[in-house]
Amino acid sequence: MIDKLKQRADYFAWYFFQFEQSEKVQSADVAKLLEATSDQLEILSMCKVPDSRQSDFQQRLRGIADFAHVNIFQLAMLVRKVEASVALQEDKSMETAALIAAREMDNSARQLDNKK
Amino acid sequence: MKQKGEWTNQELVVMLFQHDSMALACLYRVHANNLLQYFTIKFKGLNKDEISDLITDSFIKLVDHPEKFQAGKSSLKTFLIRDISRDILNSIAKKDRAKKRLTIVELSNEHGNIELEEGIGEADILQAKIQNFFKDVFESERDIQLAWMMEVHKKRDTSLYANLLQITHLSFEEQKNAVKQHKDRIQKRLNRGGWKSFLLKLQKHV
Repeated sequence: MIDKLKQRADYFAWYFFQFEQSEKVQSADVAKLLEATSDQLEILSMCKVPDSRQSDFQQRLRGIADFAHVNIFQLAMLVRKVEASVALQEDKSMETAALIAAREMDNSARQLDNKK
Repeated sequence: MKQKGEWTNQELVVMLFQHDSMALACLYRVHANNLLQYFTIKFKGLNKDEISDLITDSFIKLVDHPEKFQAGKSSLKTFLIRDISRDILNSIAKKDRAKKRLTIVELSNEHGNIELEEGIGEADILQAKIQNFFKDVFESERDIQLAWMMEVHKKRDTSLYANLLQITHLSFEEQKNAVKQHKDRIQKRLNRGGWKSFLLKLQKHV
């Protein structure tokens, strides 16, 4: 179950997987951070992450943390951290794409000059 | 955290339709173990992980499309059992088709020097010959399927025969006895129809 949910960005399983990758930690470390047992972490992985842009984000996150008996502050921190890291990666890939496009334009201009 | 079974099916249905963040987790806690146990017994020959995967798929499907469940028509449990059964039977049929193709290719290679590249065409002819033989011997499509399962695919799993014979409502012992009776009957008909000499002839021709 959890392996399948790791591919779904709307579930906590995906967030934990991203966190493990970026922080180079194991799921046991995530459980420790959230003050949860592996069973509680598994249950939490199956929950959908509330939209952090919505005004009721904190309230909904608290509901989930209470449900799974995990530390709400650490959970909020983890969600924010993963979202920031994903946004940064997206920015970087935009930057790379822009650089590649600029280089290609530069090359084409040079080729045109050579032809002249 | 609520313990397993503390959510009623009614509560689960409400969670599903409200797209509650915790719907999948609750569904899993209430139903996963019981369903896994039920299907592992029902489909004895199937791998437990495979069954577990199909159960998971069914849960995720339901959470993504709760509208597929119509509360008036059946209970949540019945809906899940029906959905998972269908997926398991589809998965078995898919595997059977692949295995059937492989067996025929193997059979052709066993009985002659057919190159594997050419084997598919030869295999189709062989398959048609076997099918014609079965059609001559048996009147019903079900008996033909039983003969394929017994003689070509060499299936031994009682649950597969029980599904085909539609006797899954019987106890396992009763299913075993009924399946044995059918297998004996098919075997007798095949022997009387000259199955062994047909196989020898097939061997010479290929």
